[in-house]
Amino acid sequence: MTVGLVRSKDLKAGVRRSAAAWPIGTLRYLVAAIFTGFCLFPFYVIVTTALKTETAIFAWPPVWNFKPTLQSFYNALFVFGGRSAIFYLINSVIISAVSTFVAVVLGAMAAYGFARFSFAGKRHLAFWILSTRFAPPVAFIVPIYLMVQKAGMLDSHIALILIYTAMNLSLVIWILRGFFSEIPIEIEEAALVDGYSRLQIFWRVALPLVRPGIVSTAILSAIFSWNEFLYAMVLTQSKAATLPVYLAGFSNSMGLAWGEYMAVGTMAVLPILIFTFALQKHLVRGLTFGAVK
Amino acid sequence: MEASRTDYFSLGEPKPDSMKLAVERRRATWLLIAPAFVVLLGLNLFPIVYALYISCHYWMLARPQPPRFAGLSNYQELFFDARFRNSVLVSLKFIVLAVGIEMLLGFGLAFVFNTRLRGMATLRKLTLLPSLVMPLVVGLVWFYMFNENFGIVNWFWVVLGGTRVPFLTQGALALLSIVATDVWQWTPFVMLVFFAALQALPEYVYEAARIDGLSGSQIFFRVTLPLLRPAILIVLIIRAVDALRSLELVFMMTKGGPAGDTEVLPWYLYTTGFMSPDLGYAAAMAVLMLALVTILSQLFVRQLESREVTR
Amino acid sequence: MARIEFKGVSKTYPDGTRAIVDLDLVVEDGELLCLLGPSGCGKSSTIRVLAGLETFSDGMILADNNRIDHLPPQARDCAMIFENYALYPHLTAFENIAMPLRARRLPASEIKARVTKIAGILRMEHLMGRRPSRLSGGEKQRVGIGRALVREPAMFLMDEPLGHLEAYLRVELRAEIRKLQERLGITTIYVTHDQEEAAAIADRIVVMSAGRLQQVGSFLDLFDRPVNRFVAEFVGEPPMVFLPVERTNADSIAVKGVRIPISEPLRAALRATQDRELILGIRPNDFSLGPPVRDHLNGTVTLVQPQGDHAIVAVSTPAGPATAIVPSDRRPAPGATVGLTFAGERLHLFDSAARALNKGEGGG
Repeated sequence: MTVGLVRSKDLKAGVRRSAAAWPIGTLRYLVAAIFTGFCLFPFYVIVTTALKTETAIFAWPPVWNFKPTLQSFYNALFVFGGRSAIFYLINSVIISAVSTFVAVVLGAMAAYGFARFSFAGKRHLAFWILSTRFAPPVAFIVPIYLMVQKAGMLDSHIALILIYTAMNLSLVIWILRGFFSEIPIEIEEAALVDGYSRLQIFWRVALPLVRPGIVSTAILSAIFSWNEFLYAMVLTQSKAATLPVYLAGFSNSMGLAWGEYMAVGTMAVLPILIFTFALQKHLVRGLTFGAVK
Repeated sequence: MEASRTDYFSLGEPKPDSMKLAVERRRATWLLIAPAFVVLLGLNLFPIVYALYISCHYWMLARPQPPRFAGLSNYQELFFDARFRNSVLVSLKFIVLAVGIEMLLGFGLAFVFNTRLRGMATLRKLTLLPSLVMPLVVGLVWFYMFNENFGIVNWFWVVLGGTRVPFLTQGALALLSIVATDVWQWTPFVMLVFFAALQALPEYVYEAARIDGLSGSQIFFRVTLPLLRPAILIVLIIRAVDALRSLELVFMMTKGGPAGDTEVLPWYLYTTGFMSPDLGYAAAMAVLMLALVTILSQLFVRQLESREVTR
Repeated sequence: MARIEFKGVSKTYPDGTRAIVDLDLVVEDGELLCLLGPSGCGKSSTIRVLAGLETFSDGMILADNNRIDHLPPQARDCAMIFENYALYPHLTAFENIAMPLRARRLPASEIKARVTKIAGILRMEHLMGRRPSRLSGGEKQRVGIGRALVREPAMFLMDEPLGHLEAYLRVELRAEIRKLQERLGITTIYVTHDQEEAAAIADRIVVMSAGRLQQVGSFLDLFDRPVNRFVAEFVGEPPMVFLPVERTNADSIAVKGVRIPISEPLRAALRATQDRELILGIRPNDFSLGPPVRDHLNGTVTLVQPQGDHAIVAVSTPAGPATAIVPSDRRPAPGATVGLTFAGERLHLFDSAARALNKGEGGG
């Protein structure tokens, strides 16, 4: 009996404590939920519009209950326009994947150099590389267009791959530099006395230890390449055109092919939704160049 | 002395006998850094120089006659170009409004999310999505939602008792709509940065402040805010530069209209270079823009540099 | 397997800090030599320079009369054991031990045989499949030792290998290291700041301070015949007591007017110097405490720390603070006045430059 009494007393105290917290706690939930809903709502619109029939797309008031159809996806992939969206999708995948791979390989090497070696002008070089992150594509597009044209590489995969590599290098170098310098130096010294050369240590010891960093920078680089619009728009026309180029064609559709474009939009967004949850942990660190961890 | 060991490969002044070691070290360094360096040299530094060169020429795309040296006349022309002035002004309005709202909202929301309440972490992770989505898709979906005839924003507006609004075709509203879209995409990012910064604040500082008898608002203004200063500066600069250079939303939603009300600098530059197409003139604009971005990025770099020193 | 020689080695950091100053040192083949000193004294720098992990500014390093200081670390054939273990976190214990052999591209079968043998010697066969995160501190360092042993290197370099371990493990593992080293006869340099560890493990001990070698010798050499005040104070626990001395005569001294009896060799050394600012050094266990006596050095007990069979007694005397070790059953009470007497043949005298007065061959 006494035990029961004590318990109920505790319970009451607990209730009172949470009661004191309730207006603030509930307010937090409310604000957070509304904000999250605001963030997610356009995704709902993209996907549902892609699944609506043409009449439902143009309906007023908006239709909330509708029978989903895959017609728009089918049209975008197999019927619509001069070329199937699959073609652009494949170009996007190839260009993002290869440019990410090259950026991560070159970037990881340079990051290791910055983290573990000292040489004249190192700080200046590192901060110059950092500042390239801010390069506005629209300011570079004129000279780069002429360079690519003179090299005879307009509408080629290789041109976009090189440009995206350069675009992502600062990110890769700065994030991985942070990861490399967090490895206890003694581990690499141990490898040095164990008989490995400096490049072997980079490859066999340091690189495996920064795998989480590699994965998250690779995902971020891939997303940035995947999303890039201006260079792709100006430098490619057909052979190497990527998804954004396809989407840019919307303005030529007289604003009628909403369903088809939303279907392609869904395909452009879906991989990112998946990747985002994979890299969660280092996202802010990546987006702010390690300035905020 | 067990001094700093980070640069362990080259501590002390190497004496002549260890020159071989120094050579090996230097070779490894350059092997590692040179490839990335070359790529950035070719695709960052060289284009800047090339842009300077182009900007001093009459350089028409797709015309038979070769480029002709023009001295500074492209820059002169810019100075008297009302459309250029307008685009700078529009860009400025856009940046101040969008980034300002994002900073305020993001800052406040970071405090809302900075709690151990159950489920908040999941909500926070979901808010991350907009900042990673293809900007062109963002423009597409908001273009749809802002539509005057069947857009869902208009529907909400009507449900709340208003009448239909032509969001994207009416002067100032068009720019505000683009601002709203940018706010949707980037507020979560700002919020997440502040959230991470709040999480990184050491608990003991607050314990000390409470023991010292500071009130809640004193703690905020004398402890929290100063400690968040670096994060505020960093996110402000990143957002300002990104807002200055983006043109996807304008491309998708308004094409600079109505009547130049949303013609931001990047859009004017792009149309000059590839629709007019006057490359020399566009390059002059690009050079001015690069100068502006360089100033902003140097602020960022300084900020990071000072952090590196204190770390 | 190797006789190591430092010849005039100096290391100066770019900021002017002198980590090693003109070091001359020979490490005999098969010897276990301890580098002992407070943190920042240059002992770690010395072995890191030897391993090739750091460069140095002047001098040369020889192994069996061949210069090795121009070689990269991987060519110097030294194995190293680190204070924080420095195991490869992504590899199992087995793979950690195998790494030096893989660097030498030995055939897989030989690697397996050698690692297994080492695991047997260290009695840790059952741990071979684990990653470092699943090993205790003691187990980690055994893997570290295994990784050093497996190569059969020309020399072992150990940088405070037991610093992160608990006290009982330190005692256990240091005995094991000593046994292994004796069995294999590999030249070993062992860095520590713990004199008890150094005394337990070393053939010879090098005391360093501020980058300079102070004294080389067995622990008893350092304890009984310190060459200067630094060594005298650093070696021995609790530290030696120092009292300022007046010279009353060519060969006699006094502390606060109380004449101190000294041995003949010390008297001879005293006669040989004109220095007037001498310091007397007494080990705490060379004091005995008794009832206060007129014209003796008397003092007040300020603190008594019982240690079991003995007690450490802090005494405040007119000449300065002193520490004495007395049997537990004869410890005074705090606040008591006591008389200090000291064994004349075990005293040390230091001149104004902190050098010990040479007591000659027969001293100590």
